[in-house]
Amino acid sequence: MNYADLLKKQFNGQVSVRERRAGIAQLVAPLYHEDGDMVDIFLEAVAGKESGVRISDHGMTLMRLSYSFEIDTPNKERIFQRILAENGVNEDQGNLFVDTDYSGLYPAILQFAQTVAKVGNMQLYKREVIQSMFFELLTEFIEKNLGKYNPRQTVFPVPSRDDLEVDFEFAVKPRPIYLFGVKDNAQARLAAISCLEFQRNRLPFKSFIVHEEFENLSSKDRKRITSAADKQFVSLDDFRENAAQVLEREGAA
Amino acid sequence: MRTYTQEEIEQLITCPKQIAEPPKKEWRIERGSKRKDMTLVATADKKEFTVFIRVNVDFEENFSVGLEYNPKEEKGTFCLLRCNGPHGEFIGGDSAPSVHFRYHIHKAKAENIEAGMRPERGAEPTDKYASYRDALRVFLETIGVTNMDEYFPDLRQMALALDERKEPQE
Repeated sequence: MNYADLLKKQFNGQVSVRERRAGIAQLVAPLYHEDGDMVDIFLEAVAGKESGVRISDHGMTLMRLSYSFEIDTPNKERIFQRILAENGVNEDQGNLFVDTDYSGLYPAILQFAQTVAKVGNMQLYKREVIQSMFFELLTEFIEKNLGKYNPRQTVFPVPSRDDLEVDFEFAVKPRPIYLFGVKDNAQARLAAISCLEFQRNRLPFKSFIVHEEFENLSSKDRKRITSAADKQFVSLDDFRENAAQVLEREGAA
Repeated sequence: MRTYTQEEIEQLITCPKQIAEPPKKEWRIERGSKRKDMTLVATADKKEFTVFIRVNVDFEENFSVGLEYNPKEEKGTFCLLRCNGPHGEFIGGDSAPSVHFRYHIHKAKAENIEAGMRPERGAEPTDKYASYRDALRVFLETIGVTNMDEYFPDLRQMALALDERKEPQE
């Protein structure tokens, strides 16, 4: 029995295969993406291995993902690789694959389809979907790790200006630290304006900026915020790693 | 995400648009697919759209050309239209899955948005195109790109030629 016949039997006749290229068949199975397209699963014999079968997607999963989401940061790459590793799936230049043999074909296809779905769902990590997570994660870290610096959330240092908001104030002597979380160009501009206004009002303070990703800002916004702020953390990871030490130094100053 | 009427969706798809950021001349080949992107702006009200063009490296007939709408009043984008190659089976708009591998078009539907599903869920088979280049031309004409000849000068002429199935070169 070849693997196509075996698969039909294992899937109770609900699947078929269609030859797409010499030696490469595509599985036609009732496994669909959210938009109604069938999950792309290809099957081909593994050279030199009797009853060996490679289950792969020939790059279709990452192609689909790229319609609206790119794996273009180390963090996204880490999540992607973790999904693959946890599901025993490999990648070769975008081709997701798993090698199995006839006996393991049925569970391997289901596992592979599940992995494809998980990778496809990485679009849920889109900036606009998870952007609130940046502040949640920032807040969580500050509450958990920097409590001894008496953080106060949402502070308005100039009483008459409720448009100039500081995300966190740390009661560090001799001058309080005003911390701004910045996740995009607009927030970078607002933080820069706030710092300049506070300076104009002769408030004693030092400003800290925690960027979601400094490199994602436009070059003009990077210049503005760099000129206005006293200390910047280029990412949340940078802040997590160095905040305690920097605050300690500020307190000791 | 706010709800849309089907008329609003049709208007978004077909309203005249200009290519604001053209695609690069060369394909970006990344992880198994050839990729190009461009930004469009609606001529009348400056609404913003992006277009993605993807062609699978191993199976050139597996392509997708799509229009994403980026509403100013809310965060995120959603797909209005996608012209696909015959990459596999798909669920039709109001029918059982198509058992054939056919060229097909996904179009956003008001009822999908209302139901919280992917706006472009479900597709309809099409015979408007039978190659990637043809699909790109049909797509750009459908979505009302008024300056397409400026950036895709050969596309319409190519429609008259017989060699539409060869490697895309623009």
